[in-house]
Amino acid sequence: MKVKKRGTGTSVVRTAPKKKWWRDISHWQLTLMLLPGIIYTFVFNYWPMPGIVMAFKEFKPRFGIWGSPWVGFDNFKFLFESTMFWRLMRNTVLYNVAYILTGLFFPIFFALCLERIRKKWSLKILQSSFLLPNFISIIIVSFLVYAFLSPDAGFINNLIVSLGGKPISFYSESKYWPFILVFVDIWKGTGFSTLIYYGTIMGIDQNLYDAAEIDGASELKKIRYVTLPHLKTIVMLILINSMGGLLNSATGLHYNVTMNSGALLPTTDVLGTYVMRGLLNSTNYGGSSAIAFFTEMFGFVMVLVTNAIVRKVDPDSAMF
Amino acid sequence: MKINDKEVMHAFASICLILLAIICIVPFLMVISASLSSEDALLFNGYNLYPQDFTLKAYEELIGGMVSGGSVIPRAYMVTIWNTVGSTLLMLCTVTPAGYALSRKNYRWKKLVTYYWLIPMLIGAGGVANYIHISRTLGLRNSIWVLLLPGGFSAWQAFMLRNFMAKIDDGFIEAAKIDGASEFKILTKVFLPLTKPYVAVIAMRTMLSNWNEWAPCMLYMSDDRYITIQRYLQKILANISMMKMALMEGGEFATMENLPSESLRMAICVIAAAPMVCLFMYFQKYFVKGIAVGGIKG
Repeated sequence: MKVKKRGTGTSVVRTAPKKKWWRDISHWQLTLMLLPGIIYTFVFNYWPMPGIVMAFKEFKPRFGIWGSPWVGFDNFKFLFESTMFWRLMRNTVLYNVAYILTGLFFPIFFALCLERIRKKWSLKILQSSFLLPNFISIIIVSFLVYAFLSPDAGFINNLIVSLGGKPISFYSESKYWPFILVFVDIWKGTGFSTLIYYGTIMGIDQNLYDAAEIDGASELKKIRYVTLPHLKTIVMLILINSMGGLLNSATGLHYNVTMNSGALLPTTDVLGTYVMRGLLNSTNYGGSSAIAFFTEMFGFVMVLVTNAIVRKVDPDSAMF
Repeated sequence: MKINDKEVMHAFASICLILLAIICIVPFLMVISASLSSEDALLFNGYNLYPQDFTLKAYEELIGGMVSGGSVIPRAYMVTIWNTVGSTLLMLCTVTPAGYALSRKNYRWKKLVTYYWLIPMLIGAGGVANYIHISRTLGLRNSIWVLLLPGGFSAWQAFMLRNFMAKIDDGFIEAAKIDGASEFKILTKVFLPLTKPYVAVIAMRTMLSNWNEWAPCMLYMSDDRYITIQRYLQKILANISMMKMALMEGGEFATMENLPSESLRMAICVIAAAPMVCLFMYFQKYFVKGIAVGGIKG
């Protein structure tokens, strides 16, 4: 610590007396600028927050959240005792693990491929086509999937029939869907993520590759010892952060692409779609709000845990 | 001949990338060609990669329906545009000043406001309570505002913008202050011109997500007055699956006559996707740059 000596003559001379902060007009101007966002967050985020206690009530639309009777842990008891809940948990977690792993492997693989392409115009064409799936809504994705899988006119069934096979009725056979959904997720997300990793790879110092070249490293060795180590931090951060979202659901994908088909629920139903159906039928507020409470709490704890880990790994990337 | 491992890798990479590009493009080709095929050919041969028995009938029908006013599509289109443009403008009006104020190093309540916005990112009321809050407490059910208002601010985007604005040299602020500029002037005359690309990225992201949004319309709209184009398509999808179920059980299906023909459905898909695809292809340069600066979370 530095000890400042008084009166050594090198102190900065103040030209103007310091104003009290509340007299500073610019402070209030800045506060005014924040006000819209502050009001927004209050109305749409803080105001509904007490409503989380719904999970402990039997919601009756006539009485609203606060007039409905308390039922303690009944909603949770009902939930944990039903086999449905464990099916939802299993599906949600397994799908998320699949999405996370494929979402790492394929984009990194294709980013490594893209790095080899040096021609400007081929890069441009490739990038454009990779990004296409990112721009369309999940509803249109559902139509695209339907065009492939439709039992009577679908592309795949046409192919099977023309090869002499029997058409498969995809929308009533649940066993195919884990593969279909993961494939659709890869299809929609890979292009965008590829460009993220591509950006990171292009940011690596070219001198490192030249040095490796002089040392006689093969192309594969360069990837192994130069490129991949540079991706380590970003991959680790993504992995840790996605742990926090383990119970998040790709509701749009699971609800629309399956066409909300009842026969597919055993392998496609996740927490998010269950809550959504509960809202639409407005019959099962108890189960849905218990699940919502459960996922919120899980997410909260996981964010705190993962953030603590991130702070150890890479303090700059920590959220707080 | 000596095989160079660089060339081998280049060839391998090219093949993989071309395969991926084909996989990305083929479904689009199928939908576009289906929308240009005649209904009979489609029923008989199924979907294909090229138009069969080429016809513009689906688009004529679509435009005819629009002109005669008998179709919900133009209305759905207008609602979607209103909702997308409104949300994006709102987002810019709330996020830019917020990002600017937070980027000011000597702003006194910086930490306080940051935590105030951080907490809802960590914990929320959950889907059910939010739904009841918006539809009952705020009374937005069946109102056109329910599509527009909830997406009007994002603390995440404000934080992103703050990070970019914090990199701008303090000298600019000092200089502007000496000239007697207010904070609003500094934002609009100094900071906005300097951070234009980032603001554009925020606008583009908001536009894309709003145009493709389907859930709010499904949850909060019980009638078809303010139906968006995505929700309209989703309803068609639901009708198809209901029809299929009824056919499997051997029954008649009542709403079958409301169901647009296969090629017309594909034409609707095309016009629902086209604006965003065209826009982003046009502004692709910025968008790709935005991916690089925007990082993982969107």
